[in-house]
Amino acid sequence: MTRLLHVVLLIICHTFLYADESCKTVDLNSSPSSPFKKIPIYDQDGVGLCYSYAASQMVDYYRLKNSKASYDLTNPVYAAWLTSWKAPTLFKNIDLKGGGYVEDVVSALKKYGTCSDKETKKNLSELMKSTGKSEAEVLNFLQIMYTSAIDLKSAYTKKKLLNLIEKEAGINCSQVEESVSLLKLKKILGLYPSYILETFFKGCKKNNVDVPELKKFTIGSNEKFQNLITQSFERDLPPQVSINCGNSFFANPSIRTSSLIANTRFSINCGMHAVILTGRKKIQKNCSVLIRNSYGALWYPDGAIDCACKTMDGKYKAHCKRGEGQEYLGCWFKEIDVLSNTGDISVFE
Amino acid sequence: MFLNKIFSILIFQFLWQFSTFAFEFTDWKVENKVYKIYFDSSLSAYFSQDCIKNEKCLSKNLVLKVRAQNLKTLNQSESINPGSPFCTQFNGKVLLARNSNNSEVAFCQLSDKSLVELSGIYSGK
Repeated sequence: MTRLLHVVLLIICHTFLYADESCKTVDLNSSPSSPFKKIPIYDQDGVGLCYSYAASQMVDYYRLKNSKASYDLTNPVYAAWLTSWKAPTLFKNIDLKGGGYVEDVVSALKKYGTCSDKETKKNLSELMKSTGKSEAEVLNFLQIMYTSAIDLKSAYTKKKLLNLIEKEAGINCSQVEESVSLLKLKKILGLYPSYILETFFKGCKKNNVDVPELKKFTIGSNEKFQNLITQSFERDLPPQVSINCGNSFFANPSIRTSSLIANTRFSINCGMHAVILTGRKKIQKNCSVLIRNSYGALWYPDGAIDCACKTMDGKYKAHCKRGEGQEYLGCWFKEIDVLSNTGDISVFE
Repeated sequence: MFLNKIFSILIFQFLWQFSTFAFEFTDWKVENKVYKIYFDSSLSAYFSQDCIKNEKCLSKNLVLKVRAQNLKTLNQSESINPGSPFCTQFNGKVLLARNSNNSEVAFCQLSDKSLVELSGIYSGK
């Protein structure tokens, strides 16, 4: 009888220990010296650059954590442009709206170095002013302009191009005319797209990006992906996950989008959205993870358990109500929901 | 008569200050212009100061319209900020603002110059 009781107790202890092991409390935001205190919350706006925003934040987190801050921050828009145009491969999308992969961004940054965030903003400031747009939208505009610059020569095609720019980049005719004059002045109107960076960022100091490559996993069970998250947190580093049908998931996390047939994890319904995980803990008995997105500092989706915030008096708080924060640093979701909708996961090697 | 007018203005100003006292504002900068943003608890979204107690504010109307029609998707990509197409569809202009920490928030600006934070257009339970 005593032996049986011991066995039962052992099983119970093991279950609790195992559960705690797989869901240890981690919050990469909470320490006063957390690199995330120096990395702003980004808003990718209407441009599909989530992969570049996720990669740039991972790179900056690694650099700041390891005191390799030879430049301020990695500009996600510069990084996307560098990845798309400077280091294209056969399978890579060369369209800023078409998405991409975090590991390609890190490879491109390592290979070519990066212009600092401050210099990127400075070099684009005139265009941002004339178009009234963010860096991301300005580069989207430039891409349309450069890939269609020949259309400016005839009145008919010019009208079509202006309509396209207004529709796709939200920049009206007079703003386009003003920007075109600026581009003419800089003698870069009509150049082949791959020369834009060189021309636009001429003289910009190329900073060395000294971080490891990212390793991506696309096939595997939820348990395998859970272990990858654990391993990354054990190294005090944020893992990156790509969520199938991101916006649908954020509104309703109980949906199941990933195909788990042979653990292939893809979704036939929609594309993926790249985010990073910055924390993990049990909330109401459920292991939950903290998602840092690039939808702006006031993002608080309906499907979240709640969100971490910087309160009105500037303090970090892991659980905030809507309206409580001056900015939100990430939102909590059940880990099982995240894993069941994850298409792939990338961690530092 | 003149003193009465001044007195009325002072009372009005006092009441206005008192009525906005309940709101906490955060500052968001676009270019050199600073916008004061508050959280509207009835709509569960962030708006610019000019929408306080202003039912005609176009930003509030946009939110009500989108939510009433339950426009959850606009046939859009799953990897872009979903508020952006809602804003442009309703003739709004997307403005990217930054705070003192350099964090970013995209707002939708309507023709009356009022602002609403993009994700608040379609979400807010």
